Amino acid sequence: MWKYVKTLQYPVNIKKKDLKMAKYLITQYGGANGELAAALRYLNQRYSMPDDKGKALLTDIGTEELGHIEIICAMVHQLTKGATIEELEKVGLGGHYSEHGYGLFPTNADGETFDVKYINTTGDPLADLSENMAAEQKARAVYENLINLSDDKDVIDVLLFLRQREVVHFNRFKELYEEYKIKGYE
Amino acid sequence: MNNNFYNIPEDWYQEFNNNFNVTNKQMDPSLADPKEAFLRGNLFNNLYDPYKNYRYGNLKPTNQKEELLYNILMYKFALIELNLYLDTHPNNSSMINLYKKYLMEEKKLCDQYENTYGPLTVDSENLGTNSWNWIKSPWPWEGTK
Repeated sequence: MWKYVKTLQYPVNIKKKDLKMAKYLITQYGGANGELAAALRYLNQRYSMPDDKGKALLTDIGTEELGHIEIICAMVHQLTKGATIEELEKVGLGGHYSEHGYGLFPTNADGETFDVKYINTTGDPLADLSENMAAEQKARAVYENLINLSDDKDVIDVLLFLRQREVVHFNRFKELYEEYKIKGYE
Repeated sequence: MNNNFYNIPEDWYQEFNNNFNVTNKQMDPSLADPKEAFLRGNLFNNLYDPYKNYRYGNLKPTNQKEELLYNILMYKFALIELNLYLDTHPNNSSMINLYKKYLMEEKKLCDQYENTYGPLTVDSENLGTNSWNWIKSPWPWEGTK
């Protein structure tokens, strides 16, 4: 069961409208290395974890990722606030508008919709944990690309925070991977 | 596009080496204080990995509500970090004690916040009696100003 807390994990207060950045950033919602894929991947993989440490870690990191989806969505919401149809069209979001209006939708930066195949589960704890280590590294790399694309401190500060979370998660998965390898789980 | 629009000394992150250790036990990881941990998104000094010469955000609260909220977020963050650490190190009693200490701090601040500004969870003891104040804006994605 989950419990909603009425706050973001890290505050988002973006003052400047930036539709281009919103278009790039949405990939951390609906892209292959995004937060939605991460949350669903870990929460889906936990059922085949072989011991208490794995069941707990996948549940708790998966839960934190749900909070990161919310941070990304908050950023996109604030970056697009008050945008006109013409402005949306100018940055290539006319297609998004025609399908979703001013609503959010999980796509990557090219507008491709979220694909459940991103979840990647084999049921083999070593394969799944190394998948997750790679996923955290890929998400870190995408956050770095996004930081490079932004010149707004209100955006960059949040991305630096989220990037650092990928670093910590990677290390926790790695610890568990190494322990499972020694224990001979497969 | 500009990677360096604020001026940051190259060695800014070196100052983070003066951390406090929760206990003297050698096995315990070196931790940042809760504020620094929250701002940089990482409680563990051995895991902290800054990006280029970017300095993490400073999050200056602009009013009392924000100040209280940021303090709550700070403790919530430390709790998440300790939670994940304890998942893979469940027998570290000094970390469990620190978790409990931060949990008490967080509860105290949440209670104070909810008393004045409304509930953070729908099962809060501070739900209003005259009107259902759970629905009151701002919702998290609308900012904290």
